[in-house]
Amino acid sequence: MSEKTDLLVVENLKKYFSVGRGKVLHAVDNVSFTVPRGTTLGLVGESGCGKTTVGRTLVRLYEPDGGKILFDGQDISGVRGREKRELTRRMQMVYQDPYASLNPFFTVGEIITEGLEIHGIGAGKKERMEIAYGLLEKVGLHREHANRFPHEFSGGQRQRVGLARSLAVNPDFIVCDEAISALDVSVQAQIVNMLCDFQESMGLTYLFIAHDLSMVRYISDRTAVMYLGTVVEVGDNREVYDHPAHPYTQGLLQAVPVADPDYEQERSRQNIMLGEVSSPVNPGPGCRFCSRCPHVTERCRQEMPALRPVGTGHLAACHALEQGG
Amino acid sequence: MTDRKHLLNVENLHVSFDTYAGEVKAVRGVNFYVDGGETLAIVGESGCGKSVTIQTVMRLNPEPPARIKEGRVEYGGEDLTKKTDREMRAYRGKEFAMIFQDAMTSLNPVSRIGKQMVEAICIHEKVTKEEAKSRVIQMLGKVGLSNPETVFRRYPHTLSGGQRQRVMIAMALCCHPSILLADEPTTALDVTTQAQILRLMKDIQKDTGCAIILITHNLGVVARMADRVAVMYAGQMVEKGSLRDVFYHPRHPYTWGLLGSMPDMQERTDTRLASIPGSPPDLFAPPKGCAFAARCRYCMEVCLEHNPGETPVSEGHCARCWLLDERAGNLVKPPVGRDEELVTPAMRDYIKKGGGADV
Repeated sequence: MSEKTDLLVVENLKKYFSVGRGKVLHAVDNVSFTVPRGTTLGLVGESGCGKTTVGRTLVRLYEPDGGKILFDGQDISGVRGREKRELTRRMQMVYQDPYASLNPFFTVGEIITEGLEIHGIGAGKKERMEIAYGLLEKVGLHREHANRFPHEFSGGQRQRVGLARSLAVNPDFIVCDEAISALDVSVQAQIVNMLCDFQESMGLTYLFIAHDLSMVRYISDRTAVMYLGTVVEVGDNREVYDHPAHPYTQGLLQAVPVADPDYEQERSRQNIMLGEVSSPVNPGPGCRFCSRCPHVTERCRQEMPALRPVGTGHLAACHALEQGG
Repeated sequence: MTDRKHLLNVENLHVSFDTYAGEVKAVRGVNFYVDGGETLAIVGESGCGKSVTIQTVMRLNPEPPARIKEGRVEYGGEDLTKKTDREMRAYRGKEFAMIFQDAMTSLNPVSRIGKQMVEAICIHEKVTKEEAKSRVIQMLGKVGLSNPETVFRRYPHTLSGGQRQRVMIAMALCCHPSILLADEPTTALDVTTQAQILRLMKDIQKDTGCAIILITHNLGVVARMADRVAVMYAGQMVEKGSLRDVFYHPRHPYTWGLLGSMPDMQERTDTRLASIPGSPPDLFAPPKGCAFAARCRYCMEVCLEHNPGETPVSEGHCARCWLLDERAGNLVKPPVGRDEELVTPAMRDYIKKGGGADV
């Protein structure tokens, strides 16, 4: 497991949804990023910015409308049949809503062993149940829980079941789509610690989608910031959080409340980002952020900026940066 | 606390819900007060009773199944727990106004924004529809909605989440309440919108001098907004104090856990998050001793047997924990993630002597 190899390379990924009357919703537009093996990429942004669509397109729950997804060197954007099945084994997803993502008619044991059965892991039902017991214990539940139904569990416990389900098929890559957003703070910490442990022991690679920047900063190695379907900034955590280059990232970090009264008091006089996210339906030709940007120029309205390096391992898409540097 | 009259004073409040499965003791002896112009934040995990507490202040819980077993809610020299539903109507919306978490389900979906707001004013004040309308439009403008006249004629579903929350705030402010009760007002919003709404609430407080009781589980929001903080756990306020006391000198292990489970935004730390093991107790049968004992790593024998009372730590700062008992030695909050060092030598002796159950 050399450090350099990228497990996932995404190039110019596009996903559009038709919303009728010739209108097209540009959910994901020319998104590119890489995720090195054994690391975590955080994906942040406001609701409606397309982060979930990115996650779902990666695991091929949506068919991409353009661009390449290279997984372990292989372009998976068009794979079908047997290959796709193998892919679903290697890429798993943990969903946001632990109430909606578990089948209420299945016992926890059935939920976990279903994937094993599909991928032909384990000989016979008994062996698969043994694997499920092991997984339940691994995620901090008990083997007796295998016979219970999802409604008997709390949110945190259900999220553990969801995690056990994705780990069952021994994946390389897990998309955590707001996996902790619905949980209480202390339970969030339990799940996050567990994710970190599994990454270390099993060499997992994560795409961690969330809107809580402090958690993303904690769990990930690199962070990509999305705004209205485009990645506006991506880089190593140290760079993105300490020296945010894009005005949107700056505004976003500014808005996150920090649990430190002195720090908050100091910040209370600063300006906050105004306005709301505009519509992703038939967007204009310019920078997606131009309607809210404090430094907007005529060029921003006409031309979409491309991602350019602004530091080591740090890219941002903004015309102002290009002129400045 | 008797030398000065507080705007709102809640004493020893016990609220239970009678269900088929038995009595849920949702709030078990809560004391707090709030004065004009200040913000009290009530923090805690879901199910700890924070919403029930403020809904009881407004008497919004249907009775039955809710039942106020004990306690007083004092406002303007009167005990609100003794009021009838009809009498309470004069308070709701006029003296107290509530901002709910989910503006979509709290606004009437089949009524235009303007109509809902005019209605609220006309109930409490003798004004003509025209006067009410101009006031509503003025309020909508004040909460930062561009085009208040258009918003006046619109239906809730045509607005975005942030706009709806602004409408909720405008509606709450219509009759100039003296206390604004905000139940997770920004939980459903994005961080940037959250920052805007929080800023708006602060500005309004500055203008009108109203008191705000803010319920949240986000400690960052607390740090930004609150003057005083109350930490709730299993229906009790386990720690109360000024913002700085609770954040910088917390004394209750649950507060330590909460603060430790938030990652530090300014600095990347490689230490693990200090999660609190287990989950809150069942309020059908709350434990005999301290409710937090089962999850507390400093649990002693006494904790399992007796519920600790409110122990004052300093002026205005108190906590419910046996560790604050003079026999327990001096304990301070550990640095995040290194909780082993939390136990002072004196404490360790005490645990040994007392045979504390170290979980």
